[in-house]
Amino acid sequence: MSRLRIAGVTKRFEGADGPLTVFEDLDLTVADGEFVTLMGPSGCGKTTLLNVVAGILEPDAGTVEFDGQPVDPGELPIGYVFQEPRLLEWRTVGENIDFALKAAGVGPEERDRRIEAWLDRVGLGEERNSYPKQLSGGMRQRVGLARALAIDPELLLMDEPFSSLDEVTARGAREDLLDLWSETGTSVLFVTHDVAEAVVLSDRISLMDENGAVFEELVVPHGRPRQFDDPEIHETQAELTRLFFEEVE
Amino acid sequence: MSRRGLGGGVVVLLCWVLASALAPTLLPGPLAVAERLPEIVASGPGGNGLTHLGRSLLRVAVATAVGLAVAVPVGVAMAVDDRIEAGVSVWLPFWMTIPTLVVVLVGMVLFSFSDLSVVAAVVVAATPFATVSVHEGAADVDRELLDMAAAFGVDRRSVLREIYLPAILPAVFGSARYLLSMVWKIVVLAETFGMNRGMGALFRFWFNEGDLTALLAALALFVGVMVALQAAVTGAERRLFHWREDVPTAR
Repeated sequence: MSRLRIAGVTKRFEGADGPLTVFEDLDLTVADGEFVTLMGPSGCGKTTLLNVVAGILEPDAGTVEFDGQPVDPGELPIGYVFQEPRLLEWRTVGENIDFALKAAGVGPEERDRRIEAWLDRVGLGEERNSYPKQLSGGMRQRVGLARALAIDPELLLMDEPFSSLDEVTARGAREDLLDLWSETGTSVLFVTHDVAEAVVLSDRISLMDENGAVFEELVVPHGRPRQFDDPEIHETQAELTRLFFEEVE
Repeated sequence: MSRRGLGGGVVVLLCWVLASALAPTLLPGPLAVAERLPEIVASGPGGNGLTHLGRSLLRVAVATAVGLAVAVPVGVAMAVDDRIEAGVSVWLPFWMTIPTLVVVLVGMVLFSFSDLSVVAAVVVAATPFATVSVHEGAADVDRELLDMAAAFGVDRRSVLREIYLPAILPAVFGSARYLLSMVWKIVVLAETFGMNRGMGALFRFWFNEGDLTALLAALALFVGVMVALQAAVTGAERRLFHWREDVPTAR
């Protein structure tokens, strides 16, 4: 059974020239422990879809089901890693994670334990009392990841989390993410427009066109661990790029 | 005080010395004024300067607090609710254009020259400016942080405390500094018009006596204390917002 099932979801925004449909009647599933990536051109509605799943935006039609039951997306036990870290700059690293843990209803002792444990796991054990401004971009993004995972989410939403990092930092961050994902077994819905990133990280890739429609689904045919420089991975990346540009151009 | 502030003070002092040397009968020099300070601070003919000062400061503090107590909730409500913003912003230019002198005079008549007339004058004359400042701060709240809080299911109270409040605090401090500088002028104006205690009353006394040196000595005492108060507010602001400027940036 799918962990997450998005069925017939439509989202429109009020534009200057009337309603603008971002996507219509969209279906998507993420199985338990699966890493699914949504790829599409800028402005095709990938982030909007994540925001609908996160309960930040209300869909105009359709349902979001979790473990086979229709749910109010706002009630879903999800962690969200954004394109920018979105940290409270006036709070320390530890307090930023505490902010999400309190909202998840975790008790004080358990919060303290999880903050310690997750900061250690993302390699920021020494930075609990630092302020976000004192950290580099890569470190801030790891705080965002620790915050999302600390709440022990059933589903992890990630919106181009490595796009603002330099390639060396991003590669390390992707490896860390895969380690944490294999340890926790959390289902992941990941958004990117980086073909190489999508192939290395995902179990399955859904391709969206400019109109917000999913036109192709690809199961990544490689075992793990995967290497960025593996020629077979390069072949899949080339195939995916071809599929993508045939439809989008 | 910063080096630049100190430099500015020295320039003003030099100008004062120069002007008083050019027209000694019109403008008493800084030394002559300083010599009269002990008399102003002690119980002189116009009453004890410190008592007057204490009374003025109390009025300034109460009026600033009342001004902020009105400006902060109204400014935040305007940022959160468009209908309130539309309703209030229509009236702000009206209140902001009434001359302060007229507000003080009307306040004096309506509230029979009592302390209440000072507070009323401040609320009418200064609060609209503070409200605009708070509103601008609250309207600048980072929407992306609000979305982050929504994604993690953070309740409304925590969002107000952890996202709205830190966003508006700099504006609140800015308003407090602004209010303070505006309020003491209104308070002294009101005291000069018709109160028996307060620095304004002391200024009026020495003005009626025709003693400009004593008047300037009383003014120096008052301005010195107000500048120190402003510096204290700025210092508190720096300590409170250390996360914005004092911490070293990205490694």
